[in-house]
Amino acid sequence: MLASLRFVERFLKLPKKSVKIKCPAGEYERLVPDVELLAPLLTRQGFEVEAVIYRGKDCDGVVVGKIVSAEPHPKAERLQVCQVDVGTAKKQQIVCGAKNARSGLFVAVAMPGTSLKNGTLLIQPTLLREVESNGMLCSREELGLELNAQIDGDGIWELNIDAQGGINDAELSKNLGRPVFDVLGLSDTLFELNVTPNRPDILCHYGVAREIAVGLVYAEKPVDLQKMQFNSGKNIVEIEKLAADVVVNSSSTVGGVQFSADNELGVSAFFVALENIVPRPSPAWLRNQLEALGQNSINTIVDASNFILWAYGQPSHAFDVNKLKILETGNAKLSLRLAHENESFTGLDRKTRTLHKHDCVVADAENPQALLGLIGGEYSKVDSQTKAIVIEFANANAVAVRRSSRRHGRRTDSSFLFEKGISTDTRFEAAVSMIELIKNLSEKAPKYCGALHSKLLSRPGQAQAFVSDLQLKSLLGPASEARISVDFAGIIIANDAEEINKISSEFSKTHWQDWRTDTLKKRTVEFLESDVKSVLGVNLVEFNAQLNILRSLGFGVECNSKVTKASVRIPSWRVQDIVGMPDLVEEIVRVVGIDHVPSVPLNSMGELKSDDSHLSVLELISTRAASLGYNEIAGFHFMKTTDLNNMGMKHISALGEPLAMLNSISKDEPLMHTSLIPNLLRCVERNLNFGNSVGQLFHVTRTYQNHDSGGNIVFKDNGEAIEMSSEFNKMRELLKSNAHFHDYSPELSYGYSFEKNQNGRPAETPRLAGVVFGDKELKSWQNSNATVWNLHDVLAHVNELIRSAGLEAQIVEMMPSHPFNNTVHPGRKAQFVAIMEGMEPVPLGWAAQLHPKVLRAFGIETICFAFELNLSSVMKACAAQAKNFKSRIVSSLRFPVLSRDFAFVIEEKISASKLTEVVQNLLHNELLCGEEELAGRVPARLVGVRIFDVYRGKGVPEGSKSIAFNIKLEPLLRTLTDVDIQKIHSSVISGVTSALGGEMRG
Amino acid sequence: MNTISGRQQLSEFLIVSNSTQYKNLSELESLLTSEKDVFNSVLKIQSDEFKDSDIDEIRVRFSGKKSPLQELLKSLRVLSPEERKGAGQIINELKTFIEKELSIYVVKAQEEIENRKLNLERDDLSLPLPESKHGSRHPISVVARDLIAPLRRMGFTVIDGPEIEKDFYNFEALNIPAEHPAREMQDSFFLASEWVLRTQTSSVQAHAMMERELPLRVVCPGYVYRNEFDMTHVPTFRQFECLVVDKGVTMAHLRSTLDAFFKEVFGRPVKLRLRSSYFPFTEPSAEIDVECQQCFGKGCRSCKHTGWLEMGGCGMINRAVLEKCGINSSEYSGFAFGMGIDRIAMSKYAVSDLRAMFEGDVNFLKEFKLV
Repeated sequence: MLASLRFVERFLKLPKKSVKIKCPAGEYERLVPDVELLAPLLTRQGFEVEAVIYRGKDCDGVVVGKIVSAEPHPKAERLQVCQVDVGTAKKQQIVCGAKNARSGLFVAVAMPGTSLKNGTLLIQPTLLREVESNGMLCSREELGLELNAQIDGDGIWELNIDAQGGINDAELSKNLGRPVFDVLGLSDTLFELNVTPNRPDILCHYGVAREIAVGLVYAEKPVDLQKMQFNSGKNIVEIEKLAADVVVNSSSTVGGVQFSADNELGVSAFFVALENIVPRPSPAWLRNQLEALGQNSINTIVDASNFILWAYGQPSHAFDVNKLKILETGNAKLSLRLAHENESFTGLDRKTRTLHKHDCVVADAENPQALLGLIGGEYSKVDSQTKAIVIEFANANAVAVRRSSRRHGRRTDSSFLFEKGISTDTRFEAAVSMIELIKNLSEKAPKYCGALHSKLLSRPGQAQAFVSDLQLKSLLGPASEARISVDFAGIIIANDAEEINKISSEFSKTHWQDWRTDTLKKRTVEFLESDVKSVLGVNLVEFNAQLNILRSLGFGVECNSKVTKASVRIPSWRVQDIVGMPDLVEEIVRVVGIDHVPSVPLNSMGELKSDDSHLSVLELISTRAASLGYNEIAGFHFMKTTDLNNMGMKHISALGEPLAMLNSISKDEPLMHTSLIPNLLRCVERNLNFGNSVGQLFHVTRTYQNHDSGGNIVFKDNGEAIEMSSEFNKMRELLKSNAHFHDYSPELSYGYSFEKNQNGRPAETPRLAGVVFGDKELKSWQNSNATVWNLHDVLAHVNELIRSAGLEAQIVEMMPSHPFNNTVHPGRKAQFVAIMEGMEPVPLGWAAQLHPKVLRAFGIETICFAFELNLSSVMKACAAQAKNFKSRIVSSLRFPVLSRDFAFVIEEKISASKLTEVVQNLLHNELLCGEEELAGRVPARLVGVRIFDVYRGKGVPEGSKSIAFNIKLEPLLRTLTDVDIQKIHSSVISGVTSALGGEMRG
Repeated sequence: MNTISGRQQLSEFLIVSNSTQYKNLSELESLLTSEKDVFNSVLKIQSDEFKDSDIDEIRVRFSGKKSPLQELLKSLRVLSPEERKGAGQIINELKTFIEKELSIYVVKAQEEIENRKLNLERDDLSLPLPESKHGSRHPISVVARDLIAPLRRMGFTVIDGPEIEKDFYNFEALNIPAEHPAREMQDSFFLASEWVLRTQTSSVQAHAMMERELPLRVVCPGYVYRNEFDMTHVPTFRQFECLVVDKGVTMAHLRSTLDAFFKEVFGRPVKLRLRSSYFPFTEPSAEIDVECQQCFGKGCRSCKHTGWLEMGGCGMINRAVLEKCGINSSEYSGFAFGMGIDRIAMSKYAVSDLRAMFEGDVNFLKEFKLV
C-alpha cells in the first residue's frame, strides 16, 4: 500500500518537523510530517514501512517565478530571452525555447545548481547563442510530473492554471522565489507499507490514518481523527436515505431511462443513479493527489471514484447511462451474472478479452460492460460528453476476482482491494462521500435519481454474517425495535415493517433470532485482566491501559465495576480478523510493541527425547560421502517424462509409478523424481559444459512414488493433468504380475509420520546417489599419467558408505531383472545386498559404469560411474543386523599381527570372491573362536583376506589366472609360533589346491 | 697453492702398506707409532668430499679384520714370552684408542655426508600442491546443520515428516482456510486428490501435535515446495521450524529461546527485534529481525538501508491450530518459530543468485570444504 501522508492529513493532523529551506526569496521553514516518529510507529504496529518516498525531493531549487519581459533572441528565431522575477531585486535572465513563454506568466524556474531528472540534468549558468541564461523554465515533465498532453500542452508549465495543478495569481505573487512543490502543495511524503493479509482495512488512507491515530494516542500525542467533509451545506443524499432506497427501489429513472438490475451472483451490490453530470478536468488538488499515488487524472467523475477508493478502500465504477443498451420499452438493464463462455469484452485498457464462464461481469441487456471488481468497459465509460451516470458499489467475491485477475493477466487497484476482502460496511459511506465529492467538483449540483439494489435471482435468503456498526447499534437494542431486514447483501436497515416483510420473506423469524444471537456472539469477546499475562508471560501495561488501546482501535469496551473483566465489541472492519481473546492480546501487544515482551527462559525438559533415528544415519553417511571426495549437490526433486527412457529403461514406471504434479513449474519436468540419477547426470553435463572435466558428486534426498508402502496405487487419476494417465494405467496392468523393483520397491520406503498406518500415503524413500566422471587423478608433475576410475573404486566407496551406517554388505553381480540393468555397462555392474540369517537378502542399492548410450542421451562424452543406495533399506538391514549379530570381538593389538602372502594359479572361471570364501572357511576351521586355548587350534582372529594381484599371461596357462592374496591374523592369546604358522600355511595350500584345483605359485 | 682433494690424500694414505713385520719390542713400538700417526693424519683429512664408502674404507683400514693392528697382534708370537705381555698391552691400547676415536669419527663423518646429501635435495615450494581428495557438503546442508546444532543443545528434538501431504496437514490443521491464496495452484504444487507438496515445515508440527506425546519441544528441518523461481526463490527449498507445546508456555519463553538461538548461531549476542505480523497459524505473530551484521544497524545495501535483516517468523500457536490437532488449548499453549535455510545460506556465503546453489558446478561446490 502506497500511503500519501498528504492524503492521510485529510483525516488526521500529523505531527510535524520543521526543515529550513534556502531559496531566492530567503530562508523559510517547511513543515514536514515527522517520519522518524511515524515510520517506526507503523512498523511496530505490524505495517512495515518498506520505503519512504519524498515527492519533489530534488526540486527545492525549482521556484515560482514571473516572466516580466520576453524578448526575441537576437540570434535565434525560436528562442526568447526572458527576464524572470524570482522575488529578488535582480531579475533572472533565462533563455527559453517554449512558445508559451510570455510576459506576465507564472512559471517554474529551475535555479542554477539544481539537479533534475535523477541527476542527469544539471542546471548551470550558460551562454545560449552568446546570450547569458541563468536557469531553466520547466515543463511538468522536466520536474518528473505526469503530463496530460490535452491539458498541459507541450510548452512550459503555467502555474496559474487549476487543471494543470496550479493556483491563483494572488497566491503565486505572494510566493515568488519559493519552491514550486511547496507553493502548489505538491510536496508529499509517501510510505510504502507492507500490509499483512489480515488487514485489508489498512489498504486505504482512512485506515492508515486510523492506525497512525492509535499509535499517537498511545504515545500520548494530541489526536483528532476526522472523516472528510466536502461541503459545508446539506448533503445531496444522507446515508440513511441511501440505505433505505437501496432496500426499497428496484428500479430508477436517470435521464429518461428507466433501469433495473438483476443479480445472479449473490454478491452484495447497489447502484446509485445521478444526472446533470458535467465531467471536466479535475481541479489541482485532486489531480495532484491522484498523481502522487501514481494514478492518472481522467475527469472529475473517474477521479472522484478513484479518490474514494484510496480514501475508504471501496472500489466503485461509473457507467455512462446513455451508452448502455436501451430496450424498446425505454428500459436499460444491468445484471450481475457469470460470463458466457467465449463472450468477448473490451476493457478500459482497450484490450479485448475472451471471457471464461467463471468470470463475473456487470452486463447491460446485451454485453458485458465491466469485469466485476477488475476493470470497467471501454464502451460504457464516462467521457466528457456524459450526462448521466449510474455508479456501481459492489462487494465482489475475493476469490472470483483473484481468479479473473490471474486468468486475464490484469491487476488493478480495485481487484487488489477486492482480493484482500473489503469491509462492506464502508459502502454507504463511500457512496455518500462520492456523491458529495462529485457535487463539490461540479459547477452545478448533480441530481440524485435514486439508488437501487440489484434483484437477487438466485440463492435467495443467504444472509452474510456481516453487520455494519450502524446496524449493530440497532441489533443491540430491543429486538422489537430492530428495524432490520436481511438480504444477500448484508443487513439493511429499513424504515417500514412492510418493507422488511417484502424483502426478507424467506428469512423466517426464528432463523432471524438465531442469526441475531449468533452474530452478537461473534461480535463480542470476553476479556480478562489476566489474559495478556497468560499469553505473553507479562502484563506489559495495566488492564486499564490495555482497554484504552482497544478503545483507540475502535473496539467497544464495557468494563465491570472492579475493572477486572470487559466485554469487547469488535468493530465492523475487523470482523474477519478478530475471533477471540488472543487476537485482542495481539492488538494490545502490537501497539505497545511486541519487541517489549521480556525474555523468560523455558524450564528444562523433564525427559530427554530422541531425535528421529534416520536423521543421524543420513548425516553420517553424507559426511562419509564428502570425506570420500564427493561434493554434495542440491536439486529440485523433479524429473522429465523422458528421463527413464533416456536411462535405457523400458517404461516410465520402471522405478515405480512417478507422481505427476497438476501444476509443475516447468512443463519440462512435470514428475516427482523416482531416482536421483537423472539430475546428477544433468549436473555432469553442465559441468562438462562449464569446462569442469572431472568430478565426484552426490545427492542425498527422497524419491517419491505413486504407491503406498503396501505397493498399492495411491492416486488413480495420477498424470491426468499432463495426459499421461493412460500410459500409467497400461503400466499398472503390466506390472501387476511382474514387478521387479528390487531396491526401488515401495515396500522399502520410509515412514515419515507416526500415523496409525501409512496406507494411502505416497511412498517417500531416502536415497543417496553419486556419480564420478572424467579421470580419477589428472596428470601432474608428480604423476606423468592420469589415472582413470574403475568400478572397484566406486564399489569401495559404496561399501564404505554402507559401513559408515554400521552395516556389512555383500557385493553381487547386478541381476538382469534389476531396473538399472540396461542403464549400465554389461560387465561392470554390481548390486549391494545385506544377507542376514533367517531373512531374505535385503537389496541396498547398486553401482556400475554407465552405458555410453545412456551418457550420450544426457549429452555426456566421458566415462561415468554411478551408484544409488536406498537408505531406508540400509537402515532396515542395520536394525535387523543389530538384533542377530554374530560375533563382535573387541581386540587390542597386544601381539604382532601375522601377515602372509600366497599365490595360486586357478581356472579363469573361479571368481575372486569364491577364492576368498574358500580361504576364509579353511582358516575358520583352524582358528580359535573363544577365550581359552584349544588343542589344535591357532589362537588368532582372521583380520582379512585381501587379493592384491591378478595376473594372466606369460607363465600362466591359457584359461587360468594367477591370483595373489594376503592374509592377516591377529593373535589373541600369545605370539604365534613357527608351528602355528606352518599349520596355517599348509592348511591354506592344501585347502585351496583340493577345493579349487589351484596350484601354488613359486 | 696446489690443493689436493681430501679423497686423493686419503687414497695416498691408504695405498701405502706399511710393513707389519717386527722382530722385537722396539720395532713394534715404532710400527705402532707410525700406525697412530697415519690414523691421526687420516682423521685430519678434509672430509667434505667423502662418501659412505670412504668412511667404510677408513674403518676397515684401521679396525677391520685385516687391519695392520690385527696383523701386529697375530705376529706377537715372534716376541719372547716376557716381551709378549707388554707388547699385547700396547697394541691393545692403540686398538682401543683407534676404535674409540674411529667410532666418534664415523658417526660424525656419516652425519656430515647425510647432511651434505640432504642439503642438495631442495624442493621447489612454488610447485602446485596436489589436490586433496576431500569432497564437501552442500552449503545449504552445512547451514542447516549449524542452525540445528544450538537447538539440540537447548533440548529440542529433531524430527522429520512427509513432504507429500494431505490438505489437512498442510492447510486445514494450520488454520489456512479453503479460500486462502496459498491454496491456489499459482502458489503451491498440487498432486491429485487435493494432496500437495508441503509448502511449509509447519505440516510436521501438525503431525507432531497429533502423533507425539506432550510436552513437545521439537525442530523440524526439511524441504518445502512453492511455485516460484527467480534470483531469490527456487521451487524446492529448505526451512526449519521449532515448536514448543507445554503448560504455561508464553511469548516471554519464545523471546528467550530466540535470543539464545541467535546468540549461538552468530557466536555472539546479537540485537534482535520482533515486529508484529500475521500468520494464520500463530496469534500473536511477529517477524524476527536481526540487526544487519554488515553495517550493525547503520543501514547498508544488504539490509536495504533498514539496519535490520528479516530472518523468519514466530508467534504463539493459534488456539484453533491446537484444537484442530487435538490439544486442549485451555490447558496447553505453545510457540513456534521458523525460517528459510536457503536464504540464510545465501546471505552467509554472499551468493547473489540462489539458483547457482542448484547447478551442481563442481568448482562452486569445492569452495565449501566443510565436511
